[in-house]
Amino acid sequence: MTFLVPTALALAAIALPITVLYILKLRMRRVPVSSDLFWQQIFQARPPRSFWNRFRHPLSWLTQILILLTIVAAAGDPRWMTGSPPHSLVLILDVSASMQAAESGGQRLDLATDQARRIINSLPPGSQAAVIAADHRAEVVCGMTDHIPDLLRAVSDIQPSAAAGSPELAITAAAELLGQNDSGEIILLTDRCFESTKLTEHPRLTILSAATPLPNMGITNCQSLRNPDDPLTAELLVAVTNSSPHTAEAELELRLSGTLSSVVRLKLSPNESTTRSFPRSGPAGGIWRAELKNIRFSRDADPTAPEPDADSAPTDALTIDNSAVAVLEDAPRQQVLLVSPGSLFVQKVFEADPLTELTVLPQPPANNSWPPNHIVVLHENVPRQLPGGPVIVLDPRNDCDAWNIRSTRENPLPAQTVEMHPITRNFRLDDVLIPAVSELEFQLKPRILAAAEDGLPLCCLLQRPQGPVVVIPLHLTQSDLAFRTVFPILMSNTLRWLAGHSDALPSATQAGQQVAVPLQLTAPATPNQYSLLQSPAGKLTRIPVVPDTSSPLSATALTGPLRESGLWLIEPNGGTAPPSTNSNSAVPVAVNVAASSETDLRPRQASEKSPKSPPRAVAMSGRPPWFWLCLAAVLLLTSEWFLYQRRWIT
Amino acid sequence: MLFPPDFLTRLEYLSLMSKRVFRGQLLAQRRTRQTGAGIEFADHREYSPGEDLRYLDWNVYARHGDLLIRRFQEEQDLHLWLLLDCSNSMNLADGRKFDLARQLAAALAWIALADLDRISVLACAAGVVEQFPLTRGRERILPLMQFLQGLTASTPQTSLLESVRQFLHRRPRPGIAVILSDLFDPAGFEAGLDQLRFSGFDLHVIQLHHPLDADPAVLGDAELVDVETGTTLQTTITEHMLSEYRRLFRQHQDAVRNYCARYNLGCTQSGCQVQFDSLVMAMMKQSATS
Repeated sequence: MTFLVPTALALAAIALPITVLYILKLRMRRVPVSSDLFWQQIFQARPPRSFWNRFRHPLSWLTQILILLTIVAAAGDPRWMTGSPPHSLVLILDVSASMQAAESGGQRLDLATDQARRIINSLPPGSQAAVIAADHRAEVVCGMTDHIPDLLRAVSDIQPSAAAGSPELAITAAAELLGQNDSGEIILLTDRCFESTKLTEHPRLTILSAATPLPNMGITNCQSLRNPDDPLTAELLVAVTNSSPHTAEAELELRLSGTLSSVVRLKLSPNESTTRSFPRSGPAGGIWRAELKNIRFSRDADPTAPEPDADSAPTDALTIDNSAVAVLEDAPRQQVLLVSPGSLFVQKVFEADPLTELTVLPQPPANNSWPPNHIVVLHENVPRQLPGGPVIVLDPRNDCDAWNIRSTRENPLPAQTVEMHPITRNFRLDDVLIPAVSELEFQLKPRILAAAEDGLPLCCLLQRPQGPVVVIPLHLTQSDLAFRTVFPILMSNTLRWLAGHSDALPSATQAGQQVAVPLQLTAPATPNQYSLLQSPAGKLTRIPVVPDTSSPLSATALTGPLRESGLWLIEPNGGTAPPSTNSNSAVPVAVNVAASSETDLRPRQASEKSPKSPPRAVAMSGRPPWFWLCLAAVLLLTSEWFLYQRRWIT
Repeated sequence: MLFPPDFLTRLEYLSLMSKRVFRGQLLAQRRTRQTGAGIEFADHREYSPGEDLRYLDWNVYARHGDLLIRRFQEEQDLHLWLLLDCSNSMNLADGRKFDLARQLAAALAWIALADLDRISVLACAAGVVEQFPLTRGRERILPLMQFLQGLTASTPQTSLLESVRQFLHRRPRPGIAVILSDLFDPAGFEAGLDQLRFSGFDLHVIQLHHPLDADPAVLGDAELVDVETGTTLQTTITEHMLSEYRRLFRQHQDAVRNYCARYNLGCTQSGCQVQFDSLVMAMMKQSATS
């Protein structure tokens, strides 16, 4: 036997003061007696005041010394000498979502960590080991070390992840940790619920698993989306999979911002998946929360199988994938400034858009003081210098910094849109009367979205550094474009595109991914600006913010991997107060398991291989020596307590 | 309270009960074993030259030719000597042992005084500490109770032999001697009782003990303090030692009982948790049946 912490053995010196105090323990209860006649007769053979009689309880003293020695030995963390040479080992713990499934003996991850502890405790002295937590990424939680307590602590600190599992990266990292050490070994503790075919070919890899096939039903996808053509309508898409050999029934409950929206009964055949969509209309968004309830499995798929009783009926083994969230953003409302000498039709087109807040000015504002966060629509009268930000120019009549008007082309023949673009979606000029079009000479090369047959631009896009400009050089007063259905479609497309929601967050993210979250700050970002990230469990973390160069109040927060499923919240302006879903400034990020490979809890990899060196701890009933020493100390303490009570009963 | 208000009532009851139980054998009416100038024939003994011829039994001489002297039972007042142990050991714990001893002394004295006998109480420890002088008459019961009330069990040592010696030096008239004690005498109780027995006293031993004397009920580390000598014993008391102690105590009780039985002495052994009148009644019944 050897000790990993030999310095702890110095505590054995406490035995000396224990012995001294034992001898010096002279204060006793005074008990008056009528006569010591009989006591004297009892003590005739043994004088009670002799030195050795101060050891009145040698058994008790011996017990206390043994208690001390066992505790000291346990503190020294002894190891049995197995005779086997030290070797190198990398333990990979699969922490993916499926490891949270409930086996009969506990969660799969708990079983795996217990097994990892046993393996670590059984390492021969001098061995080195490392611990890696693996989902689809690999995190080295403890590098190569021979310090067993550090390894055990690292194993205990491992947290489960809601991400999908794929241990290839972890195995590569483990191989790099082992380097050229031929005797090194990689042990993967997993439930084998991942898609990989090359693992068993790895020469150093041993797969250990106690997982059994478990039935499960879960949500494998949950997304919400606004109709890009009609932002007032939205849909929630939910995919549910039954990963079991039984027919599964459940109730899919949907809530939007806490309010019950819909309940759907699902009945899925074995291994069946279904996708349901739920429409929603209105500009208001919210947090979609889908939850599977009352999941029941029946064995009617196998008519030969006996009907299970209530106790043995299969139950849903994984709860983490029974719920999912998705963020439905509010329909974007856009502020539009229309500068027009007076065109009722143009004004009504913008007023008719329910998501537009229109302001009308007859002339451009003085000193170019354009209001911020507005899309400026310039009709006919164009200032010498175009405003920054997105601009729509209708029927320009004068020159500006972006173009010069060369001439007016009459009766051009309209052609089809020349390029598929969101602005020109559902846009046709076939039947539109176009008596005149201004021919412009652009300072920048325009991107022509629609043109006449001879290439004259009828609708083009200028990508300026200050912001995009959509130019429609048709003479509206002579054309019937303003009376046609195509005009409000064109304006609506243009406004949506200029509003710029293409970089918006997806409504839900798969667990384990990194996300870049666009933020709107209340004050210009500083170099050390940070935002506050709150996990679904309520844990707060500071995340750095990268300011956008285009706008001082815009920034991007890059964070992740987000390993916890649920709703994460980001408070863009930092601070110390935790963000709330009711807060206007908090940005929600929905994270779901959303992986059918994790929902399927049936091991798919080949059966495990035995490790090259079987764990020695198995011979010790899976417990390290210090455990047995502590147990012995407790037993001795009980004995001493018994002896003490026997001495002091009055 | 040592003598509660109903104490005299209970004494009167005991007196009545004693008359019914002994029925004419009470102290003053009982013949002493002294032979001498009485009128009731006792027995014969051989004549020795020089003796008074008036007591020669001429009838026996006429019939058998033997010279025998007639002896007569001498009638005289009975003396009751109550030797009360006042050593510290009688005052263990709550002092109930000493209280019971004093109540018993008062009760026995009352019965004797009611029968016109003479009584005296001697407080003993290492010697005779105090004495209530020989007296008779029922009216003396109150001074006797005051005397008993004033006694304290604070004398450090017990020596029954020395107490008896000092008692005999006063040349008391033989009678009944009642010993009220726990008999925890380091020198042994036999020598003192032998002295009284040899001096012609009728002896009755009342041995009292406290429950803690019989079973100390203490375990573990303890410093045992002898309340009489003040000597201490530091030890750890185990169950084995306790059982040994109980065995020695029983052995001591048996020794007292056997001694009394061997010499036909009255013997009463009791714990101090009983009532004095119950104990006196038990003594009467024991005396009536023996």
